Amino acid sequence: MSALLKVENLCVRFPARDGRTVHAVEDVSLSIPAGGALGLVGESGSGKSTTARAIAGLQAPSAGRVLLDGEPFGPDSARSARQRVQMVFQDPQGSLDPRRPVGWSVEEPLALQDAGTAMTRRARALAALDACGLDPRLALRYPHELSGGQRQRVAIARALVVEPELVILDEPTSALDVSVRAQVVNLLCDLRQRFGLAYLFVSHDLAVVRRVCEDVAVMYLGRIVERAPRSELFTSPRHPYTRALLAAVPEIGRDLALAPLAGEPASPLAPPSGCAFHPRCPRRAEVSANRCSLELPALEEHGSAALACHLAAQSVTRP
Amino acid sequence: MSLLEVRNLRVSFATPRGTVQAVENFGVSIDAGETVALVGESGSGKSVSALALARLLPTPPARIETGEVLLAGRDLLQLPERELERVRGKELGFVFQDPTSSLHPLMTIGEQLEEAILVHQRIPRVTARQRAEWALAEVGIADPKSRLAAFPHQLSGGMRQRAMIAMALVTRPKLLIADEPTTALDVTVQAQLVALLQKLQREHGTAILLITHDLALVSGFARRTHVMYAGSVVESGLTSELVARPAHPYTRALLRSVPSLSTSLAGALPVISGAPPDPAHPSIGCAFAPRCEFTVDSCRERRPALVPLSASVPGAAGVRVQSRRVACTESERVVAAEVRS
Repeated sequence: MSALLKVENLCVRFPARDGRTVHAVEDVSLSIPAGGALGLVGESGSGKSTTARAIAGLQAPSAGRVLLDGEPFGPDSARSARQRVQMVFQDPQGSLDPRRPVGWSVEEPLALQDAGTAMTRRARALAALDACGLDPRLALRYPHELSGGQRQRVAIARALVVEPELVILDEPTSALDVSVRAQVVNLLCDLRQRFGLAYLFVSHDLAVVRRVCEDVAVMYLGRIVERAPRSELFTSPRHPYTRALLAAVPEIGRDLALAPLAGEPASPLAPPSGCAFHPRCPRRAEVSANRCSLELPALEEHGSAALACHLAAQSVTRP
Repeated sequence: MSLLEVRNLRVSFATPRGTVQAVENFGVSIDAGETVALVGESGSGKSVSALALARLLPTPPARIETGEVLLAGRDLLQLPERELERVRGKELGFVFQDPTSSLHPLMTIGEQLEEAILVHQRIPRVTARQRAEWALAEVGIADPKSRLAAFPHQLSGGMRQRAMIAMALVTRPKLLIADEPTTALDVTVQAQLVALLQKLQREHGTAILLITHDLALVSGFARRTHVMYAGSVVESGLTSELVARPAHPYTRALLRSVPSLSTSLAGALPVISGAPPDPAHPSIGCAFAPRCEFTVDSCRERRPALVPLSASVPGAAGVRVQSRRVACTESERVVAAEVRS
């Protein structure tokens, strides 16, 4: 299967004020087939949002490349290529003009492209709102007159109106209330099926990612540490960080983790030597000769999954 | 006698659109050393209730219309402001979602801790400094001595929340009010803080009123839970029983709509259609009726009272209903549906 999106060795580094360098994203490679959905999960500072922004062309990569159907993709790509990739953010307020009715915001991308006539543009905007489960009459309302869930639906409609092939979603459900979140999760699943969309879904909410995406990549301090189909990642996680992360997610009817992961991630200004997770890793003693603190583990492919952990070389025992 | 007993609390807000009822007929009781959760979505009145019982809401626009808040037998709503301040610092501790808003940005962590100690105790500053250091060590902050000199912005989000907990507990309050204490934090840090709160609770016998939107967090943390919707408690009971056998349609729907790491992925996630009601336009009937799958005609005519489940479900065989209360006339059908599914 040829990939719709292919990201090769992406790095994003920022200069810090004190002359040091923020290593936000380091050597990230991933691919998404047409119609596929990859979840990118991790905690704050893991670089997942920066990765998404770099792929969307909103952030210049320091190294590496982004390919769409094999062609280099970025802010300088032709408009026809750029409209194939759209982005939805956590806070829909930011992508909707507060002084314009929301219908106008949905229509705007078409107007910018000069697509069709004013009449057909309006019709497409209303169809996009309808596809997102919104009454077309809401098109005349202003963003502040809508609920948070309705605003996020409008933001999704705005992304879909140009008929993209890949939608990059950055924490699209994180600001929503529980009952509304479920509605938007279902909507995202429906839209994907209906329009054959591919998703890059960035979220810290593992249960939502499990619902929406069939593949998941886990990031820690700028790097992918494990990638696997959801059927494997949630049932038999292999990286010690993935395991700790899953164990820390509170679940209804389950007691909280007895021995939570200690410490906090190091600063991306000064990532630890070797494996960035080694200072917190409960299993580093199982690896001989301080390898974890000395040598960066490579992301090794194992069939449909990939893992960056020295334990793997010593045959990881599954729990 | 309970440590905290809140009865019939009613809070309104003056808005440009008129008076809005934020909390109605709210009650909760907490025993010493116990954790009780208030769960609800935004606008459900959970934070307003918690702030109102400590009289921390700005009045106006807020107005406490009725109610009693008995802390160890004394009604906080009747206390003069000066006495109330003493109670707030000494007997009540507070932890909020965003510690940056409660910590002074230009004072070191040490100065703020010392101040919190010295306001309530006449002891020498050196002793206060020593206690501040202990307090930081107790919440798991490594190298507490040097952290005393740190300003809030020099700490990570997790460390700031630990410092906030240290500050809230330094006077050994009997009750800690924790409003979304871990919501802004990553899950691994959240797990650390929950473990810390539980350890401190065991050691000092502190009662905790936990306010959160996160049912899963409550499930592992709070002994009893009150579920709030549109300003009222709609169901309360032992957490383990409430999540296993919800008796209010809203509790049931909310539990089903939370995505989990283990439930089946077949079919769509069950949702609650629609959105919560606008508090400026309250209904006469049950506030959840427009979104409820169990609605009958009478639901739209009368607001159901919060009553013990045993009374509203005569034949609730097999359901342990210890201290369960529910505001729904159809709870019998809700329990039956839950048992079937």
